[in-house]
Amino acid sequence: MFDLNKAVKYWAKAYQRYQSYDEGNTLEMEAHLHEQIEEYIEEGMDEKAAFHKAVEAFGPAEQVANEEFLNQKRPFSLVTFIKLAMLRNYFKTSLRTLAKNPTTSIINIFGLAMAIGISLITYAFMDFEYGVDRFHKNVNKLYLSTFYVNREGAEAHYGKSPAPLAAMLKEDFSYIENVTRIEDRHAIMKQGTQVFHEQIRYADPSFLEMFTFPLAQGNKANLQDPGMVILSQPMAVKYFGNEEALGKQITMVLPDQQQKTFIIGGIAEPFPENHIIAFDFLINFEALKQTYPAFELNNWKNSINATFVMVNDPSQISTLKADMNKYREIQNAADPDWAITAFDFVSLYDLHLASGPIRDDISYDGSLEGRIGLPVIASLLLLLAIINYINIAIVSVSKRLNEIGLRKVIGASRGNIIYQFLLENIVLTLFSGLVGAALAYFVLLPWFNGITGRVLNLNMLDPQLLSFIIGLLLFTGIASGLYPALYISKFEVIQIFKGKVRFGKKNVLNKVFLVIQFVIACIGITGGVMFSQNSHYQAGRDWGYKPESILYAKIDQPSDFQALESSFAKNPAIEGIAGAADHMGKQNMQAVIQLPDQQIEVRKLAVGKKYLENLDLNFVQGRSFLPNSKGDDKSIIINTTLAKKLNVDEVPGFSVRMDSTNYTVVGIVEDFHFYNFYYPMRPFIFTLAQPEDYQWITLKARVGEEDAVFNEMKATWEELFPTIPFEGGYQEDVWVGFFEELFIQIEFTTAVSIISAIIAALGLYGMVRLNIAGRAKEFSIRKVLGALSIDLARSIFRQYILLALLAIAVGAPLSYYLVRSLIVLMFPGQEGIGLLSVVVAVGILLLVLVAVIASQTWKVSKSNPVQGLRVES
Amino acid sequence: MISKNLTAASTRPIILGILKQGNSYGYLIIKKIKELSGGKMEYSDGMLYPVLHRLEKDGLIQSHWDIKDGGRPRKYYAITEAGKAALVEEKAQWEEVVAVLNAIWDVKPAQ
Repeated sequence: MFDLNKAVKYWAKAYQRYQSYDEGNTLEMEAHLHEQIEEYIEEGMDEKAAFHKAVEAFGPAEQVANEEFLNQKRPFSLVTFIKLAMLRNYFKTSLRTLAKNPTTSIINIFGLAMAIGISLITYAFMDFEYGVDRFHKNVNKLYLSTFYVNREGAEAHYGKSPAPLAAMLKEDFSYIENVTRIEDRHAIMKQGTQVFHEQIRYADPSFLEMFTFPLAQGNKANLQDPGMVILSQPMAVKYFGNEEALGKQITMVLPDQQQKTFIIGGIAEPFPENHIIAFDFLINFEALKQTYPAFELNNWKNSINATFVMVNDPSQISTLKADMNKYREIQNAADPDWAITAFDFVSLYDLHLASGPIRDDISYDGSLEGRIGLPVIASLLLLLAIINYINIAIVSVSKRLNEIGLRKVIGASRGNIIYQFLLENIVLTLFSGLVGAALAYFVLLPWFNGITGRVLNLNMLDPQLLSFIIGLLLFTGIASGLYPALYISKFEVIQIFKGKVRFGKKNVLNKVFLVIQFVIACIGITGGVMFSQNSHYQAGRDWGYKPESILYAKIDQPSDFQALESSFAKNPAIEGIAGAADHMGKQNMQAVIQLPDQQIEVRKLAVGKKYLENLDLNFVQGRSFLPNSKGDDKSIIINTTLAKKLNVDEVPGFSVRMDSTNYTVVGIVEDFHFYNFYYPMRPFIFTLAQPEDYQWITLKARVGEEDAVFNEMKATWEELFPTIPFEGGYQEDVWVGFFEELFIQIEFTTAVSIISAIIAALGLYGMVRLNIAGRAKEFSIRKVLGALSIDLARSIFRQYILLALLAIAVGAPLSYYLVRSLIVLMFPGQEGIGLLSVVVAVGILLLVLVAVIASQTWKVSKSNPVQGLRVES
Repeated sequence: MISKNLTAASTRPIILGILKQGNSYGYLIIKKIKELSGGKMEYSDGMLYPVLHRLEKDGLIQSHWDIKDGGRPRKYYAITEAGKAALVEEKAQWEEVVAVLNAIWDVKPAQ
């Protein structure tokens, strides 16, 4: 039997499959269809025929529905409005939930904010590092000429270049757009009463064309004049204050006391912060011929600091590389100590990041460990905070089960619930993001800049930074919210209201999370302890000599030494005076030892006769330079690192060839630290310096009178050489900044380890609470039957100890390995670390575990079992 | 037969025009269009409703349900002031189109 009403209902139902229809819309169409059918029936059709004809006249459902859907694509449809209203509601409930559990919320927000803050610092750091020297317009066209030399059987990469190379390159290759030579020399600069030691950069006029250093005043063309100098902005202020500097004169005092006057031809605009290559005083390269006439620019034995070439098409660089062979032959014939195996070119774009392994190059890279360590720390903290949030979110939802049940009863789909919880989470993340950004901007960045001496900044309006923040927040919001939302939304209403929903009992994922958290916390704490341990070790290390009572000063010419020596000779507080051409921690020379089968590059210190005694170096074998002998000109003293490389068994009788001369090894000293502890031991030699070569004076003060001697040295200097600035100090201070950096490492890693320990403790706290909430009934029954707190504690503890042990079994070796790798990277071959750090980390984690379980057990034992039995009944 | 495109384009002024003469509901509106066009404008009846809803959303017409005891509920539509203004505008446009067409068709072919 055909049922008309049913048929129409079915017809209407077909429309409800399309998302453009709800009940109201089809009601109107049903009425239409009924009216049409009635008319057909009046015309004499039967119900069924009338129905089919009416449906046909109404048209295909899909077409109508699609047309209707166009109406709803408008921005302010009813549905959008409802959704917006719900959004407001969700926002409100989010805030209420946050306010209802202030402790949990603050913990959550703080954890996420901290992780986001550290991520922003990392961003600022990476942004800076990857921007160094990349602000030049020609950054992709500029290449530093480098070369490889065989040292001890391996290829060593050098960034300096033979002095005549640039001129020949320009002449030989038409596709090279431009070339500039760069050489740095030390000089004293004098202007009126202002006299300072300065670093002078000599460069070809093309330097200012190739690099982007706009001038605030003056003309770039003035660099063509060897009598002019271009100042950096800080130098202009240093010498001229607020006065006009352009066109004024400044005098250079050369080591031989000659003076040369330059005219200020330009003042550069302040350099961007992220520069390494720049200048204080920029002078035409040709001026070197006047200031250092002995330095032959056409001699292949001489090297200069850098040669940059500019090509329009980077692919020409490989052609150029292949064409460099002829220079190799010239160079190798001229200087067999520096027999080049190959020339190479490093683009300015990559130079800073690539300069770690390149020796003697114009750029440097001291941030490799930062570029590895910071992103790792930031990601681990973020992961820690996210997992923490997930755990706590699931715990806190146990209090909202009724809310979820009710929403489901009144028609919320699973999607609605997921939407709500994800949204709540995004609100929370957004809030954490704001707190984190404020934390980064006002606390972390100044702190980081303060301890590292960097000038990082976060420009909150930079679109790149903004998209990073938005991406980070979205990622964090979804990563931390998705799982709780999915988990929460799948409960069935009946189960909820029956009280049968059990939490966290058999949730494997939660356990995995807990283990991950423990492992990360283990890494964090191990890192903190290990770095502190290492820093303390480094601070207390033997330098290989006794710097404590040594004072030094740079002297301007050899006669100064005699003047100073005679005026100090009568002072009983000074136990020793020595001169030297180089000085420990400050200055050395490069030399190459020729062996039959290989070349060893060594560092050479030419020192006076009493120098080694003054510094108190420890002799392993042989003797120091003899005070009265004249025969030590061809004698050298080597350190143990070199002795091992040379396989010296016994001195004397062992000789080496260096710079076409044979030297006899007369003594071996224990290894000493010329450079700070970041550097591995290098081979060193001492040669005897003649008094006419002295550039340094060292004084050994009587213990306890170092300050008095230093003051006297300074006063004497000012009396004897009033026109030359004093440049000297305590030997203990030669590693400027090194010990400050150790302190930075302690402070930074301690902060990281404390944060990670706190976050892990919170995660555990959340887990334990979750578990106890799920077992409330069980505990209540046990209590009623007479269980003691200790029994309950044992029962909880048993659940976690396995997890904790697993986490420790994974985390302890992993963290030892990871942190050790980072420290070894920073202090190659001389790290001062032990297993203690891992023991401390494991101890702290176990302590946290016990503390959290104890506090929760205490809570349970204080609670009334009746309450626990009522729950879920 | 009037083409589909032309039919679709003229639906709006036709509905507004019908409602200007008095309130009406979907079934009656479609019936009236069929009557007036003498069956030359072919519609699938259902396509009227999206148009009505769009007009309502644009504020040119408004609707209310009329439920009489025992009778079938009907959704009545009434033209608003904005709807009347829109109709005047539409009318002017259609007249212009007609004028242009007339002008073209009146021109005698060049001798």
